[in-house]
Amino acid sequence: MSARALALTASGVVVRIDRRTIVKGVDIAADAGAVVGVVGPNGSGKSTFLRALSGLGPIADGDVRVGDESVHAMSARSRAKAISFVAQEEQSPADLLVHEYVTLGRTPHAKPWSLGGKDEKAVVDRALGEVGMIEHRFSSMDTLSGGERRRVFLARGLAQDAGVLILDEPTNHLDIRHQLELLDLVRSLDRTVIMALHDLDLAAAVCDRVLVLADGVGHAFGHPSDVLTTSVVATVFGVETFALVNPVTGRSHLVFESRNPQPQHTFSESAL
Amino acid sequence: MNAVGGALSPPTHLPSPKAGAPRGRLSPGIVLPALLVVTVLSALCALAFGSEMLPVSTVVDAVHSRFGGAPVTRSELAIVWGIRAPRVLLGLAVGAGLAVAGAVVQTLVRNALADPHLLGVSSGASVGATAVITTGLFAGAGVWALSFGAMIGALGAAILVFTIATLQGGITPLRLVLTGTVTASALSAIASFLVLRTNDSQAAQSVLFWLLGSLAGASWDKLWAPVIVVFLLTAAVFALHGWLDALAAGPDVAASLGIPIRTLRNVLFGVLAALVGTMVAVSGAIAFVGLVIPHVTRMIVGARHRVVLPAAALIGASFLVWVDVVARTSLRPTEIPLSVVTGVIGAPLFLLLLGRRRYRFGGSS
Repeated sequence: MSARALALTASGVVVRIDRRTIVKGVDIAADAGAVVGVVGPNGSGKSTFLRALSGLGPIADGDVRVGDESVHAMSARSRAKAISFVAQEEQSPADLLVHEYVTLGRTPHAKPWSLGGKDEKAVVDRALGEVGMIEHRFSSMDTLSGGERRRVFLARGLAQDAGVLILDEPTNHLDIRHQLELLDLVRSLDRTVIMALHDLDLAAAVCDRVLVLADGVGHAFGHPSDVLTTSVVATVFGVETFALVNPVTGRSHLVFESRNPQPQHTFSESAL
Repeated sequence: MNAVGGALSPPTHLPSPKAGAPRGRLSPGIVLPALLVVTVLSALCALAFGSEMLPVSTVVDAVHSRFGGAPVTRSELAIVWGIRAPRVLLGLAVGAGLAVAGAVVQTLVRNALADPHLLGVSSGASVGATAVITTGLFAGAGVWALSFGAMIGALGAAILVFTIATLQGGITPLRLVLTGTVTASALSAIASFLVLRTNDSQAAQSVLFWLLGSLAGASWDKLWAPVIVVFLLTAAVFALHGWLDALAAGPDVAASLGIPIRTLRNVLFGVLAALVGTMVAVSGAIAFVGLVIPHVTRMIVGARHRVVLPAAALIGASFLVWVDVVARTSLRPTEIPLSVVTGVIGAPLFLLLLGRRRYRFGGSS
């Protein structure tokens, strides 16, 4: 595909929704072609922050720049050519076939009355091939499993052919094999990728940089080995971890232990 | 991390291209020309039906004579060209317009139960028309008075709904459904009040007949306005088919794809108000066509608007022409209001179609 990776930087991003400040001045910097992970507990503002980076939601303060343009000052259409956002759960219209859904990704590149350019089919087939869904391209969206739907949503984002790909929990609903395949794919793309991830170990394995969000504040940002440490995880997630080194790869992994011997008690406490 | 190859490597064995359309879905290259033929044949047959049944060949000769063919008898020409043709053409235009408006409104509010009368425009038109019938308003406008009153009412209702929705933060699907429904109820109440206030039972009868829809008012000099409006506005929404597809996928996806959602929704509202207002003004509030035809169309051709819009227009046009044939021939010499026929024929047909095939719309069941 033709998209060139674009650098994305954000500084002091503040997002307010109904007078509640969800994101409280967060910075992030993704070099062109880098893979940046955003981790944090539930309700830490990951999705809201990603939407702000994508230009979908308004920001109260701060700036998001992609290439050398301010995202929130761009026209919707040129923004959609620079940034492609795939939400956690997209609703697919029924009666749409898989390839028709992925073709939606070509919308910013076409006039609304266009009946499809000559490269449209090639781009769509390639995106479907990359997520391993090419055999399903004539299936109805209704007939797919949750994981298959996720991969089609990702293919829509790929077909959009933007320099920055922002993914909210792309590994949700995927079995472990497809999680690993998806992360391999993300690494191989010539795009800048910013994604929210739940699995800290996967984030450490695949990301060039990791942002740890806690309660709308950027708690730490940097190389995964510097950021995803036992002390940060203990502070932000309230979980005790131990670093174990894989004797084959030499890579360090975080192993989790509940801090409290009565897990249900811990849960109700953290819920408060 | 270990690379897990396999499924994500570039595809080497693409399925053969003949696997074009999925099971049960027909290719638009076949469906659209076929529907066009059906529509033309329906129109010709409809010209043959009436108080005097004519052979279709006579109809063809009569139409042909108007375009330089051999002349036919004066009475045949008067029946086919003078009386029935404007009515059939109006039926084609209104049927197409209602079906297109239904397809667009269902996408705009992402609701399977939406129909063109949801916007409150039709109830506004009924207030205007009722005022004309019961109070003799605009009597100076002659045969145009009813349409004129309905148009004013439709316009007023459209402005009212648009203003309320916009003041509350913009046209979102839920807000438009609520505002339109509530406004429609209020306006229908006003129309009912106007009917009750009058002592003229003849007027009440005409109001009821008008509310249920009829093409009886068709004439050549009243034909051009609805035909042009339906044609231009259908072309306008067709030019937006790519954005309508994106809008149908939900506001998040549409925004991510760079669609100017707010502007698009406002434009669609304006188009719908003009389309529905015009059709209600000439033919009354015909129920069911705008609700059912878009669903039937999607079951045949899928959900992409590039095919749904022209296919729905053709199916709606043919359907309404046949509905009108039933309306004017089945209880001769009495004419049945169109909504009675669309309800009696359409509802069981719709339920049957929905039951026969797995069909879902807008992510809901």
